[in-house]
Amino acid sequence: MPSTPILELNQVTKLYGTVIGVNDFSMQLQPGAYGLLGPNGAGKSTLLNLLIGQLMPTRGTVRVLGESPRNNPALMRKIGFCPGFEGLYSRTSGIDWVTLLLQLHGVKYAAARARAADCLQLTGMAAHMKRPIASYSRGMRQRTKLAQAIAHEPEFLILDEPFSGLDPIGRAEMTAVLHDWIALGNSLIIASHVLHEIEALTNSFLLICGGRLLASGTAEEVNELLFDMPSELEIDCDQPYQLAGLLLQHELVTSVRVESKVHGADRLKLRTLKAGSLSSELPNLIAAHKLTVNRVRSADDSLQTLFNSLLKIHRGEL
Amino acid sequence: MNSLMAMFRFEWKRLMTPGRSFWWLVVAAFPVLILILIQEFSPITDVSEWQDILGSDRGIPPWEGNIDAAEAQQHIDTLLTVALYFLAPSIACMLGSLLTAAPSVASELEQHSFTYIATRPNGLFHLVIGKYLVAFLWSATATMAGLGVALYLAKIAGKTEATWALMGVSVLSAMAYSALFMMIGTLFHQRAMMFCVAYTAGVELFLGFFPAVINRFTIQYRLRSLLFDWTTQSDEIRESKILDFVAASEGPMLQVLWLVSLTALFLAISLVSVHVREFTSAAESDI
Repeated sequence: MPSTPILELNQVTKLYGTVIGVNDFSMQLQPGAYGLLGPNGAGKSTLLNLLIGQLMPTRGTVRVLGESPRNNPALMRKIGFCPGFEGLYSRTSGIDWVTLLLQLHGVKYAAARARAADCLQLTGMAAHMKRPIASYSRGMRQRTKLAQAIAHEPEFLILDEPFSGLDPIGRAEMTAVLHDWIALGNSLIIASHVLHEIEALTNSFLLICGGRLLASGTAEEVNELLFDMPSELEIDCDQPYQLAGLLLQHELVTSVRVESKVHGADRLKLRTLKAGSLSSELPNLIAAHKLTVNRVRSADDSLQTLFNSLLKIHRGEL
Repeated sequence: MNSLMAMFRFEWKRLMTPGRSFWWLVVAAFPVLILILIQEFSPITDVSEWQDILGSDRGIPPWEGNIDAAEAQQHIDTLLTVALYFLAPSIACMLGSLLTAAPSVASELEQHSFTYIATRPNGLFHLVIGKYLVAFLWSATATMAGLGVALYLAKIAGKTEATWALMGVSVLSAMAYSALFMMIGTLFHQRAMMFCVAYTAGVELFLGFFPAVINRFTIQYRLRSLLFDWTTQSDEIRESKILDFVAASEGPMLQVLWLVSLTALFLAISLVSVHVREFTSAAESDI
């Protein structure tokens, strides 16, 4: 029997007056861990607010774990939310705050207190949990926020920029906590504009910009999408000028540049709008003209560049 | 119930700061200080003064004997009871409720803590009702503490009756005003205090004394009616036609029912408002 999708968005549009927050957004996600990537202002927070029921879509439908999230107490028991902003009570201690939020789930005080302490310990806040939140660093606040999100053991965790303000050690510890969370079979969606934060946790991405879904899938699947999209290549070749001429003659590239290498072989840097055609034609050209090619690599095989390419396409720059 | 009590205890604990405690004392001290000033510097709490005033009003020359002292004391009792009503359940309680109930939702939105509560099962219900209960208890205790001291100092002969009446009216005042300001603060959270003060001045203090049907929809009218129903007034006031316009004569149960109904209505509107409207902390405003 297929499992209930954690998210179903059907042609969801959210308007703030005349400003578009989310634009005709449709997707369905099966249980798992997903990274929601997009630059600032891409619509990530609007999307997350739609998922937790704080916003209503202007058009379309949103379902989380098979239910509408708006004013749905039963669903709120199943989801944990860690927002991007702080919003903590400065005079209250971390443990008091997490205890209150657990009690709002109907947990009795003693049990809530014990569970809050466990979760704060899990997020590395054991030594500081009885201090007022006003004395916490940014990283400590992030950890406290994560503790409140996981304390009631939700099925689905929604995190908005959870690594913001954390030092490298804090990031590593937070990543480990979330890894364990995912390993337990729980679902998670994590929004960030910093790619490597998400890469450390999951290989499934949702790339959004301008309130639209640019691409989704694993890094490899997204790369596949870009197969015939504009891209850059680097070719180490003994006859770079001859190869450059052939590529231009066959209109396979839009620009070429030859760089002399210290180690001997020259490097040809080229940009193409027809990556698919280039990859099929290039071996024929090399063989027909008996050229010596030592190495071919994409100049932009990192996920960040992939993301940048998608954004450029979205903006019409490519 | 566990969740509601948790929210109530948490909010009550948050309210126990030096600044808030100072305001609690200010609200409690307000009727006491004004009463002391009235009794020290105004001759109207003096029995012989009243005997002269009443004798003069009735055209009785001084050589024909004084007005009965008990009758004069009745006038003082009525005057001080009405004065304490305006000072405690009316002004002090209104001020206390304004300070605590009005910014309830606005403060959560401003400090971005709203979302954490909103993403809990029935979190917004617990937020509104929990904060309402705190506002009610805070303003009721401040008013009753001040009223208790003021009644102890007041030169009222029938203190038992005045105490029961004023304490009862104070509890109902805190109940109704906390709900009213909770509703206004929820509907107009960006200018909560301003709207609450404007409503209080325009509706409760102006229309509430307007001798027309409109005053029947105010909390002041119902509280005043209860006061006149639960206390014994001097003959002049009881027989005055003005009383027909400023207070109802249908009996205390109906007044209490009105106040309970208004409270329930205000709270219902607050709850509907927070559930229907879209608040996003990220934007610091509703959208």
